[in-house]
Amino acid sequence: MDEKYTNENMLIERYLEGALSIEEQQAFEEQFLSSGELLDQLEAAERLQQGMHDVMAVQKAHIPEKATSRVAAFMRTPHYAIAASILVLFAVGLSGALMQENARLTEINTDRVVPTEIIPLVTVRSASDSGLNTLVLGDSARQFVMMLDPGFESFSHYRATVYQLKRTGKPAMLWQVDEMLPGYEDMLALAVPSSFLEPGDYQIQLEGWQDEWPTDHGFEPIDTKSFKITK
Amino acid sequence: MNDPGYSEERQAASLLVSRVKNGEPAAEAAMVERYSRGLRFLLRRKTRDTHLSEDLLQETWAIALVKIRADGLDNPGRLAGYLSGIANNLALGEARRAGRQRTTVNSDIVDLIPDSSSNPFRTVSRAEVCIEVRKLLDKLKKERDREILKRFYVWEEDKESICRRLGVDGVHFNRVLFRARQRLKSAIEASDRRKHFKVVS
Repeated sequence: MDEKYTNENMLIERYLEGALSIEEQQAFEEQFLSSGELLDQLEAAERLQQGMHDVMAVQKAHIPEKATSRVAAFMRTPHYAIAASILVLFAVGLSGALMQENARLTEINTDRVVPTEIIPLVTVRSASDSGLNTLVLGDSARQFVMMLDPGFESFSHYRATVYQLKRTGKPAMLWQVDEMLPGYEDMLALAVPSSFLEPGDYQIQLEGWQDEWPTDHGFEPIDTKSFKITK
Repeated sequence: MNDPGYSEERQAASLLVSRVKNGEPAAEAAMVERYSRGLRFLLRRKTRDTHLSEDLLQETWAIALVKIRADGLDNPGRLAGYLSGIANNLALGEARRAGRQRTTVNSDIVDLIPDSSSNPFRTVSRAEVCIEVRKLLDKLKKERDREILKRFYVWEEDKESICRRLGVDGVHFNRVLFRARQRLKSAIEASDRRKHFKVVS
């Protein structure tokens, strides 16, 4: 077990690690007990290992903290706490204002988001007393979708106009939808927000238009439907 | 083992055993002087306790000298192996027993054992070693060699993985470790010599 063998097989390092077999360890210990030079090497290796650990520990202790650590340190300061508190208060105030604004806008646009009620309108002489085509406004806003029969004659598109009937004077035009096309079950769907209606009698005039007609031709009357609005 | 040093050791050991058996006090002193440093290192490594290792060193010599004085050894050339065997058994027994019954040590034997102050590797302080290791690392020209030492001694990676990771062969790896060890050894010995240097007016 000469120096070359010892170095090539890393006996010194392996002994310090406790990685030698029992036989190797016994032979190595017997050798270093009687060899001052090998013992010097062994002790130097032991001190080198310890010194390396110490140097690395010292270096680590002197490495400046990373940027993230500085941020973390700043976050622990009273200045940051005060600034964060102000921001939180501002955020809470802003959230409250936005919530109120949202509620207000919801109220304004209530007809766009309310439930829809679909009503097939039938032809009646007058909706006033028959009980047919009577729509109830109710307490909450809603959308009335009235289904209109376009009749047998086909048109390029249709126009529906809602009139509020007055006890005296001419009916007042309330709502008009153009460019209507038959959809579900070949019916025309006329949507009217409930917020536009008030209790009373109404009339829908349905007209047709052919694309080949000249612009001065005018809509062709198809049908008139009456309906009543109650509370 | 064809090492010529090994043959010399066998002859020297046989002679010492023979002289101790013949009752030569100087031979006992020479034997203790020759093997105590190695035994101390071995016991310190095994017990991880400097004071305990000193106790066990005394016990080792107490057992060994009583035996050699009385009967000699069957294989006197293997004196080092015999002594390391006793030391290992004592260290192992110490680990097994909490309340160990100590062997009564003859004070004459204690007087024979050299203290560790003559060993520069023991007298140099940890801080001094740290400074020397730092110098050693600074003097290394290649960052890769510093990386080898760091990975092996600090991170305790094995040789194969370090060689593979850093793209070096085993011979280079061994050379880096050997040179680092040699340089530290020289630095510690030089430091020890400076301590003992006296200005004579």
